[in-house]
Amino acid sequence: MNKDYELAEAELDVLMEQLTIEKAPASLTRRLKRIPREERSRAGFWSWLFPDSFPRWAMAPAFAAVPLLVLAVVLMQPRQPSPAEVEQARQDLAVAFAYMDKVGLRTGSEIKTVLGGELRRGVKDTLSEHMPFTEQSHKEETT
Amino acid sequence: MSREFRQWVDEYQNQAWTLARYILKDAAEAEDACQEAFVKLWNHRDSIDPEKIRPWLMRVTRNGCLDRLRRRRPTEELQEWHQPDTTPGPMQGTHQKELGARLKRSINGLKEPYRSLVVLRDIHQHSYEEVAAVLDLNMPQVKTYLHRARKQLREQLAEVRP
Repeated sequence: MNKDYELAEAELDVLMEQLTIEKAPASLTRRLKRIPREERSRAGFWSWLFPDSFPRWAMAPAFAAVPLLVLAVVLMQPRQPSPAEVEQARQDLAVAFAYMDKVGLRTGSEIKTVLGGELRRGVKDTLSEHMPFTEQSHKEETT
Repeated sequence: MSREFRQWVDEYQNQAWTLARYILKDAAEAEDACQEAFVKLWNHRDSIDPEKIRPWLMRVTRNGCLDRLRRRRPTEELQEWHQPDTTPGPMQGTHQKELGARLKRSINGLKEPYRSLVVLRDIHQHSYEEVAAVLDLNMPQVKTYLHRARKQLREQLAEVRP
């Protein structure tokens, strides 16, 4: 049994030795030798854009940044408003100024009403204290 | 670098071709698989340890061939790799020729990874370490699988032995 095994193994070894590495066909050799030229021309643009020194991990963020960059450029473009928008803005501004005028007038009259009496009284009291004749002249004036 | 690549082509194309032929049993597909493997070699040339070019290439060639096998329809007829042996050699006797042809067919009939193991170790004469690296196996696995593969081959040869 052991002898049979050894014989079979030896026979297999001999047969294996006959199986040589096959020579690749010339067509394959030609295809393989064209690879550097073909790959260089195929990868021309991309190798210019991303040279070998460009880290691979940075590829994804670089690609993701492209649409953001385009959007930013579009948004930053100066834009001329349409005539309708100008007219609308003018009307809005007129309403705003009219409102501000109204508020200004009302505030002015409020200040005048509240502060005016107080100021007058304050000035009159001070003057009559230091210059009593003013009280007299005031009375004359009023009569 | 281009010159270095041509040197790799000269050195390894026959081995890649033989491995692809044994796995795919189809000359045209084997050519395509070899080309794909060498394109990958060109594209990764800077990241591969120059000492490990051969195992790397054999591994990529084998994986490419196995992918092609998986993509084939199960019913697809495979072209039998049975070239007439016209080269004169030590296998002169009819019986030896018959055995040689039978051995080729038997190797073709082995399942993976046995077939690649036999091709890489017994035909390409790669070291055990290199075979282990190509096939992603450890050394005991390589030895065990190779033993099983050779056992199958011996049994099949015994059927045609007079």
